[in-house]
Parts: sequence; structure tokens; C-alpha cells
Amino acid sequence: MSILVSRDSKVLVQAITGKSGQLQTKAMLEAGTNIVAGVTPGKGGQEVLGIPVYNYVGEAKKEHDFDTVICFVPPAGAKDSCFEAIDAGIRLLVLTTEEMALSDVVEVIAYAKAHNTILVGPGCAGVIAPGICKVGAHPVRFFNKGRVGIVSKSGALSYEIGKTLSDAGIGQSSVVAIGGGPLWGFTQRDAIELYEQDPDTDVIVLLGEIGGDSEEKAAAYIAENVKKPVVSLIVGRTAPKGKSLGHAGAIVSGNTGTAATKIAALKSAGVHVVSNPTELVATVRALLSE
Amino acid sequence: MNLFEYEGKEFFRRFSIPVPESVLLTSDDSPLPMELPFVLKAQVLTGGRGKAGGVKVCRTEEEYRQYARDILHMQIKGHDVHGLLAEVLTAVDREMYLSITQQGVERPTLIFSAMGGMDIEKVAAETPDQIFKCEIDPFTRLKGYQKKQVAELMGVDAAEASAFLEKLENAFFDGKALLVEVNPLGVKDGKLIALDSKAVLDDHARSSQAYRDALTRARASLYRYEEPERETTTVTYVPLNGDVGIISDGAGTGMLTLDMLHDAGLDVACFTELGGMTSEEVIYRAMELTLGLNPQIKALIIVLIGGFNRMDNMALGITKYAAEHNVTIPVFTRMCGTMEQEGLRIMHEAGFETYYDLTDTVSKLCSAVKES
Repeated sequence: MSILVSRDSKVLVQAITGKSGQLQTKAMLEAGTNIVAGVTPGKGGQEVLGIPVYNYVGEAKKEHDFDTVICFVPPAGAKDSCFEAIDAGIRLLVLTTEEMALSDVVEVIAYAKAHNTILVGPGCAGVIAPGICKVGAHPVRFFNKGRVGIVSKSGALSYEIGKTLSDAGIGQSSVVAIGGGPLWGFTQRDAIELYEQDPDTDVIVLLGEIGGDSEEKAAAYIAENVKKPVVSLIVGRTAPKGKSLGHAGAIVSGNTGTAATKIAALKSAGVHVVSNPTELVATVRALLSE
Repeated sequence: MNLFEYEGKEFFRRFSIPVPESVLLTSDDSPLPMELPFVLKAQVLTGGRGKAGGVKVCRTEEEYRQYARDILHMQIKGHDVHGLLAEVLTAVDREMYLSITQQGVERPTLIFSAMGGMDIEKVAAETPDQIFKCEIDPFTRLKGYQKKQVAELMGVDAAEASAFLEKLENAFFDGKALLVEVNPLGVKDGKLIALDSKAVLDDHARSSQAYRDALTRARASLYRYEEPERETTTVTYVPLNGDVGIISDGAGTGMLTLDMLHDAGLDVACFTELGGMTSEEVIYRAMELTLGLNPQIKALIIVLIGGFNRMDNMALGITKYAAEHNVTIPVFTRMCGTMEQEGLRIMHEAGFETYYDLTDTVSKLCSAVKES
């Protein structure tokens, strides 16, 4: 098993004819993802890598069955594309688009929630279940099938830690990158809830960063509900206050959002907090062998 | 984009929010802008100007001359004053606080307090029971019962309160704001008026780009105002105080590298992250910012792990920069991921070493810096 995606996931790609859409579609097909259709307005009737392209999601729905959509639509059109995908009654929407207007993000999150669609993103790298499939940008070769479940805000950090674990011979059940914030559909807490229920995950890795309070919320959830061991790495410990370090969400203001408050909350929830990839590998290895 | 009060008031007027009449002055020798008495307010991008002496009531022409000179040349909390807003003196019965924000919250949130004219964070910390908050659904906007509830707290007629709240939420939603704040919100004979205005507009909102550009152009007439240079790519550049440069293609890996270097006892010169765009030009720009602005740098670490990002594009940008500039410091590039083979080939042909493991790359850089 894995979280969010499985062997049975049937995927539609929005903006499949774009540069990023084509490159990522190719990589997803190579990873074993079952992509059934693509959408780009005005490009209906074309094919991309053998995948039929439609003008609208609703048109694709008449011909194909799908439960998952990945969206590569540029920021100006992303909100409407998300509404279109959600209106098709899908279970999971992976929204990779960065730099959307915050008001658009607020609407998409509210709309997805009201229609029981899980929204991963915005601005995220998505999810990979190594050896099964991926709905996102994770480079397949950094990941091996195994029993560690990873959730990260940053895409690159999830690749980095996946790669480091794989290089050390430790595989992953799923790896999810939820985006740099400051707003999220699917949260760290939500991922931890799914990993706790997943019979194929033994150890959970939470990759957090400074800013906001989502790590504190995850810690509160862990303290009450999680029996599996959780290992956490919080990055940006040594960052200066009041500066946003590349993620809109990664900003420390006043005394909130600091690495210290997050680490304290996680430790008191029984989480194993590590400070670098080497420690992370050693801790995960020890916990797996228990 | 953080608006000056005069810009915020103009923004409020677009949405028919009542504000006092006012005139912007950009010199200290303008003729009397309106009939005496009036208020003269510092135009500055920070709060707390009242306490700092940046708000004065002018009752005579002499007072006006004096205050104009005093206030215009002031600095408030390290920020230069860039103009003066002369505003009709408005006597009110009560002052309250009202805002709608998307900053630091998950959903648009209305905040009201009957205690106006004060620092709202202080009110929230000392007397939290004086703060009313409710979330606003972006599709329904404020519901009838929410407006009724706020009207009761305001102690004004429900129709008057509803009308004001609707105008403010229009400014927030249709104006693509991250914050609209009225502090103080005045009540005079049962009528509401925005005595001050604070607004932050969303830089990512395309529909209001032209409006923000127009505001920016108009700022050219302000006193000693220079628009900070805006980065046209998605690169985030944060200067720090040390002598090792970091460039990364992800915020998370950049912050991890920053922590690893600090833990190894090194001081970082700057944090440069590529952001959503990862073309050859963007990494070239990152090199330009990192090396061009930091002549003290002793070594550079470039941390790349391609997902969306293509390593061939990265290699082209890095080698192009190096070919055009005399880069003499050691560069430690960790390159892997999408189009890795092609990227490595370009790097190696240009004489650059590359690494595969991040921990290994960091330790190699540390040894090199400590030896030098």
C-alpha cells in the first residue's frame, strides 16, 4: 500500500501539451503511472506520448475513467482549471502551480474541501509511491520501495532525503511534497494521519521548515493519535528572522514559527528530532530494526 | 505591495469606503492645502507614527509651516517619511478597530475590536476578550448573521454596519488585498468613517497588476523616495554576513545547506534560491547576485536536485557565467536529477568538478575553506 496513490490510480494531466506537462508526463509514464487522458484547451484531438488530449475535463470524462488529476496550468488559469477538475468528481488533485494569487489559492482550497477532493499543493512536487507510480515531479531513481513514509513541504528536500535514504539502502512507502505555503490543501498532519493507518509504513519522516505553525499542529496530532515512530528534520534553524527564504511560508516573525518552538513541540510529542541527513539515516535505521 | 496611507485611502475610495477629505504634500513649503484646522500625517511605511510625533493638528499657518518641516524630514523606526497627508479634522464619538486579513491565517479573517487607535497585537495579548474574529467564506463572503453580530459589537445601526462591511470585503476580495485595516474606525452620529488606512496588495494577483504599477509610477513624485529594485526573475536573494555563498534550486535544500554550513562553523554570505523558474537565465542571475554582490566570498556551494528543474539548463547557466566572469573561488556543485547526464557532461567539459552526495559536498567545501 501507499498513501494518496496506488496501482489503481487513473490519472488525467492538465496542460499536458506544455513544456513542463510533456516532460513530466513522460517521467510519470516511465514510473508506471496509468495516465488515461490529458487536457489543454484548444488542443483537443491531439496526442501526447500516445495519450489523447481533450479541450475540457468534462469531455475526457465521457471517454475515460479517472480519479486523480495533476495540474501544470500556469498561475493565471490555474484556479479555473482546478474548479474544472474538482467538478469532474475526482478524489485527488495535485496542484503543482507556483505563484498563484493568494485569493485564488483560498478559493481552490475551500472548493476542494467542500467537494471532498483531496488537494495536494499548490506549488508542490506531488507524490511518489516508489515501484508503483507517481503523480508529481519526483525523479524516480532517487527512490526505492520500502517502509518509510515521508512528508515534506519542499519538493527538493523530499528528493534529497529520499535519495539519502535510498543510498543508505532504506526504501520508502510513499513520499509526499505538499508545497512551500503559506497555504496548503493537504497538510503535514493529514499525511501523518494516512501514514499511521498505512500497513506498509513503519516509520514516518516529517520534513519541516521554519515559519507558520503547521509543524506544531502536526506535533499536537502526533501526541494524541500516532503510535508509529516519527523522525523529524526542521530546516532553517540558523536562518535570520523576518526574511523569507524562498518559500512564502518560511518566514519567522516575532516569536512564532521559529525552529526552536517547532522542535520543542515535536520533542514533547515524542518525535525523534534530528539535525542533518546523516543523523536522520542513523535514527530511521535504528527505528526500523526495532 | 505595502501601501502608504494616502494610497490606501485612494484604494478605499475606489470601493466607496468613506474616508475624510485629504491632500498629499511632497514638500515642506506647499501653500496651505485646506482650511484650518487640519491634521498633518507622516506618510511612512511603518506603524507607530503617532507616538513618534508624526501626526499633528495644525491650528494656525505657523503651526502648519513648523510641523510640515518637522515631520517631512523625520525618520520613524528607521523608515524615512516620504510625504505629508493633510486631512480634514474629523471629530468622532468613538474609535474602533476593523480589519480583514489573509496574513498568518488559513482563511480570510475579519477582526474587530471596540478598542481602536491602539496596536491591535497589544490589545490581543493584553485583553483578548476585546477581540472578535470570524472567518469569511470566499464564496458567500460575510453572511448576514456575521454582519449582524459585528453591527451589535460596533453599536451602530445594522444597515450602516453592513454597508461598511460589504465595502471593506469588496476592497479585500475584489481589490486582491492580503490585508485591509481601518484603525481607527471612527463613529460620528452613528455613521462609520475610515480615519486611517492600511492595505497590503497581493503581488501575485495578475488582475490588479496594472493598478499596482500605476501606484508605483505615482510614487516617483514622493519626497526622497526610491522604489526598491524589483527582482524580475523568481530568484530569492537574502544577504547574510559571512563568506560562503549558497545557491540552491529548492528552498528546503537551501535551508538545509545553510544549517549544515553553520553547524560546521562556517558563516554564510548569502542565501540564493531559484524559485519556480529554473531556466539557464535564472541560474545565471543567481550567480550574478551571489558572486557579483559579495566580493568577500571564499567559496560557493551550488545545491541542485532536479525534479521540474533540468540539469542541462543549470550547467549551461553556470558555465556561461564562469566563462564571462573571472571566477577564481572554488565552486562545489552538487548536481543530480532530471537531465543529469547531459548536465554533468557540460560541467565536466568546462572544467568543473561535481559531486553527488550533499553531506560529502558540504564537508569538501568545509575542508577547502578551513585550509585557505
